[in-house]
Amino acid sequence: MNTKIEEIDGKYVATLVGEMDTVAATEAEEVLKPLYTSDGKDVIIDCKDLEYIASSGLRILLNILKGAKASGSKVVMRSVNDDIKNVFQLTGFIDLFDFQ
Amino acid sequence: MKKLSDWLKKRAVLIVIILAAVLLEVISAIQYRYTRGLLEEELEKSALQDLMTSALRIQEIVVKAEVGVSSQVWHTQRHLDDPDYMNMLVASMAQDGGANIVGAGIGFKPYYYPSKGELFEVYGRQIKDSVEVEQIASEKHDYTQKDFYQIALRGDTVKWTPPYLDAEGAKGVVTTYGMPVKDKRGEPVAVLLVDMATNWVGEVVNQHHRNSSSFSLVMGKDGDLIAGPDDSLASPSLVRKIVEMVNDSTVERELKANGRVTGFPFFDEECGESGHVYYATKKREPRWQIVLVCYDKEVFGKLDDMRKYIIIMMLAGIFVLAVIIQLFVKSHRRLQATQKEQDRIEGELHIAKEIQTQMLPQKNSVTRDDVDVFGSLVPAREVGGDLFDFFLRDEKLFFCIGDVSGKGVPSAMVMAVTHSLFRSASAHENNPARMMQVINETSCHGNEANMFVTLFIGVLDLPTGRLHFCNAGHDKPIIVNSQQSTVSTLDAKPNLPVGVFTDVKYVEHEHLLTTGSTLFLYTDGLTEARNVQRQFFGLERVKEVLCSVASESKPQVLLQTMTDAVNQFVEDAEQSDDLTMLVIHYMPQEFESVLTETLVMKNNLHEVTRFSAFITSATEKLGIEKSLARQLRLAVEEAVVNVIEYAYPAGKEGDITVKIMSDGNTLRFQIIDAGVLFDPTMKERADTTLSAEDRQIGGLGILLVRELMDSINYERIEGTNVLTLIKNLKS
Repeated sequence: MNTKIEEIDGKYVATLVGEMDTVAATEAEEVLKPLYTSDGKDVIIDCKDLEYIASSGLRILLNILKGAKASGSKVVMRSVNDDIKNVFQLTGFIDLFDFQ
Repeated sequence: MKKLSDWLKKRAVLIVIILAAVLLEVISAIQYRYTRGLLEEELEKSALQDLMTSALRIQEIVVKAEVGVSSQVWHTQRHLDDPDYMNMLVASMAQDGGANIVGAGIGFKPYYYPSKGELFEVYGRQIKDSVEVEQIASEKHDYTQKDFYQIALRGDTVKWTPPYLDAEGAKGVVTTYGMPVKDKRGEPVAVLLVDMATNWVGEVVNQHHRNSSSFSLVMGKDGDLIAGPDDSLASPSLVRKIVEMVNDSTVERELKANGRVTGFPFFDEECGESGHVYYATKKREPRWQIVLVCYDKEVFGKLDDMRKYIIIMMLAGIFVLAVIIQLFVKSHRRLQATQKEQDRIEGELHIAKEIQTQMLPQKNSVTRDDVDVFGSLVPAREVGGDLFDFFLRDEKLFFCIGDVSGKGVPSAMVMAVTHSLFRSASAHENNPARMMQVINETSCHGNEANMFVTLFIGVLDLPTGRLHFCNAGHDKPIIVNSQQSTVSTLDAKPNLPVGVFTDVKYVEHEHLLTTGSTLFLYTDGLTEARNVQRQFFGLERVKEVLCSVASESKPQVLLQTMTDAVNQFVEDAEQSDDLTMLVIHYMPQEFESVLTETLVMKNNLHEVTRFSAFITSATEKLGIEKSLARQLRLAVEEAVVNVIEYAYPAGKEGDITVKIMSDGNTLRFQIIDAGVLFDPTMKERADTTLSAEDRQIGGLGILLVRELMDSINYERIEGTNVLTLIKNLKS
């Protein structure tokens, strides 16, 4: 999978592309780790091209959320497909994140 | 209204006593009136008798005097020519007339004896023992002017004059009786008379009375007093008063006539006593009125005394009654309180029974393709100390049966605790021995009453038929083999019952249930059910019944057969112990896989990429649509990652086998490893309602497995961990 972080309009935009299984998650974590410690900017996670996510991927998202919450900024999930939304639903993550 | 009824309730005793008193008083008063009426009648009768007696006595004396006169009239008529004879005559009449005759006399027509002058009356007067005879006629004493002379000279008898003072003849108060003396031509020429004193009359009528305080007096026709009682019996003033009353009675007083007796009540002011006055007039001359005075005190005195006694006794009786009622009411209230208490306890017991019933599996059966369970519990009393429970978790049937020592409420409380302990111990535990351990430790804690529980816990792995069980001193379950129609007990070294010692090490045993076999669990209420001859139903009979229904696949039918058998045996004997039975029929369905794909991988996270490719191609082969395929992939990946991370000790390499099987209806994934015992199904479900800050990083994987699959199951088989994930394709 491909993972990248950009700063657009004062917000961090993390774009996740492809399938984020357990192996891919460890790679993606390397990229996303800086977001664990927030500098007060809101984070947008773009899931338009994310096809699959395992629990290790969810853990990364939770860590980002925890960091953001600590500094009072928001984490917004953008363009999440139904299958992944279902996973959020089953794990209760749907109530933790904001969705666009 | 409510106030009134409350008041009545409070004052009930008082009201009852007042009513009883009023009733008794009314009865007593009626009786008194009635008796007094009877006594009054009696009094009148006796008054009549007294009056009659008095009249007869008077009459007796009077008649004697009358006879004396009439017998001399004939002699006198024969000696009319001899004036001197008259002296002798009156002397003998006065002499022989008796005590009451004062004197006798004879008076002639004027000039009858020319020698004797115009007036001639000879009178013989009794003076003590002798008789004084003299001629008493004079100008001053002209007897011809007297009534008796004129009556006699008309030829009539002088029938006793009203008493008068005779100054010349008798020289006292007398009454006179006289008869005419006739000459040869029959012409009355003289009157022969006797004078009788009246002072004796008082004595005669007072000679005898029924009642000692009674007295009598005699009155003349004109209402004047002739003679009364002695001063000792009645004072002259009282006598005068009575005479007045009798004279006035006809006009002023209400008379009560009874035959010849007339009477009226009176009040004697002198002595403050009430009484009755009765009087009657003699039928014959002298027609005197005889008056009898009776005092009520003497007649009714006893009745009044009796009434007093009755009232005193009545009051005493009512007092005793009041005390008794009070005591009764108290004891009744106590009884009521006891009854209330009993009702309360019964009510509570009823609720307890409900609660206990609800603790048992609500549907007392579980029916699946592979297992059929039915249980029943009949407590000997309202609540009992037996328990059974069963439920399905993953592909496992958890069940238990137990018997608390003793019966009734204490046992029921321990039963409830044990039941809860079983539920909590089995929530995240698949090992029955460990469950038993937990239950035992908690039960022993604070078990001052030393209640213990025999408990059997079983966990049946439905896909494999492996029965894991731990028996803490309970009756050994019986296995019924339907194919061979044989029964055998589930033997294993029994552990100590729960609640005895804290540090008991409970041991788990395993038994492989064959297809179609039935597990029969029971409490000793079954084997120790007694008939009226005190014989036990016994294990042999239980086995016989089970053999006879070995081919029966319906647990409910088997249980009913056993219940009928034991009821038939026991007949009318009272159920002495709780009776609990649990029947599990095992009949696994063969899983005929139409497709089996296998992947053997290492316990390395990088192998997940291989796994992903494997599962994607397998689901494609099975024609599973993409969204579901992703779900299945996610679930199995999570399970596999879990195994990779935990099955083998760190640094140790091992194999993990992933199998995908399908029979067209159901998909089964099996993840098998030879690592240490690791049962992910025992993990508590992660709380998905927590906030981001409180959410734990772990636990998400197994949560996803449970959520995405229909069922998961773990079983340790011959040193391998077998985790099965099941997804129904048609639902």
